[in-house]
Amino acid sequence: MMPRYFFDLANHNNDVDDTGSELSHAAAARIEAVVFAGQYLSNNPEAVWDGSQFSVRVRNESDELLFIVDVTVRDMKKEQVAPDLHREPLP
Amino acid sequence: MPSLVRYPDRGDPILPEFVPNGDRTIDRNQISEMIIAKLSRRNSLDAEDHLAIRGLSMDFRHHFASSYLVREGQPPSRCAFLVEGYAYRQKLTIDGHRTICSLEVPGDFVDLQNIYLRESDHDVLALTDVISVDIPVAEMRVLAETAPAVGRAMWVDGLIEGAIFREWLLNIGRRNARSRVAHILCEFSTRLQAAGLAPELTADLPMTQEQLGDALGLTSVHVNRILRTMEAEGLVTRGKRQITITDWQGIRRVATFNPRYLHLHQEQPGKVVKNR
Repeated sequence: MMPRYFFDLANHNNDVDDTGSELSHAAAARIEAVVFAGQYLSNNPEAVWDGSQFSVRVRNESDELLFIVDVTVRDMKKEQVAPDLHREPLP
Repeated sequence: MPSLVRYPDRGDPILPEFVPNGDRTIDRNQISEMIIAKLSRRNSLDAEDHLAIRGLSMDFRHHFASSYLVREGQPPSRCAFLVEGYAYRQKLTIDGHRTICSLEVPGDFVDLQNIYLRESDHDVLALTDVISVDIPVAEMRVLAETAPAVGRAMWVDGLIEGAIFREWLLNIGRRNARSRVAHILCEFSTRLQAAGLAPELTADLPMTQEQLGDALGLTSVHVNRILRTMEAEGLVTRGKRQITITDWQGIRRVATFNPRYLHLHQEQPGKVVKNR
């Protein structure tokens, strides 16, 4: 029996994986998360359009968060016009 | 690394006249009728053709799930006909990544092409436990060449396999992931129904997420998510190793499924049959 990992999609809809997939180890889960993000986005490219956040979050069976794959699109024209809006916030 | 040419796993032999299956027995007469029924869907056959088919030698074989019926590179000596259970064809890349190229259901010849090709270019494995019959390749060739209507039926079967591969190419090449999953479910149900194996258009597909992923060019994580969503929508229910369609019209819409490519009715060549 291989360990089970859970892959949640976090975007404007929060899509929690309650069944999971058996994979050999955490490194394999990291790879599958990236591949999954790519396959999902190739069918739903609008999920990262115009600043909306797209993430795949990987948990293990103990519900520990192991990895997050974040994909964003940055509109550079908008950033040029209003650079202040994109500056890192002060600590 | 050179691949070893190994002879096929022949499975366990079973007493030729008696194949226990729960409270049923299967005998060679029933198998002959299955073969006649299948080839009759590919071309109209007459009484002499039926007689020739009934004269074929058959060895019953049992294969456990995940065992090999045919291995890539082997020179074929016998043709396998699926009696019970399901099988699949696979090819592997050099680093062991697998594609499942097709599914085979009861009533299918799993390697009809190997009657005329010198070596197999793919593996065929049992998806579930399988009962099959082995027919010597030489007898199949004689049958094809002395009973031309049967030969044509085998030829048409090969053409239909090609059509199914083209549809799988479209599925993996361009359909979105959700439609891909729906499409393979529709195809499986339709083929079982055409073979008289499923009373309605629902069927249990005994594949794991990983196997589905390999058949559809998707990671099992993606397959899992798609099935979860379909279950929430009432389109399917699923167990650990099986998926059942619960809303045939719904799944068919998601798949944009058109059974034309299955060429289901070829009994009267030249006559145009309207698709459902």
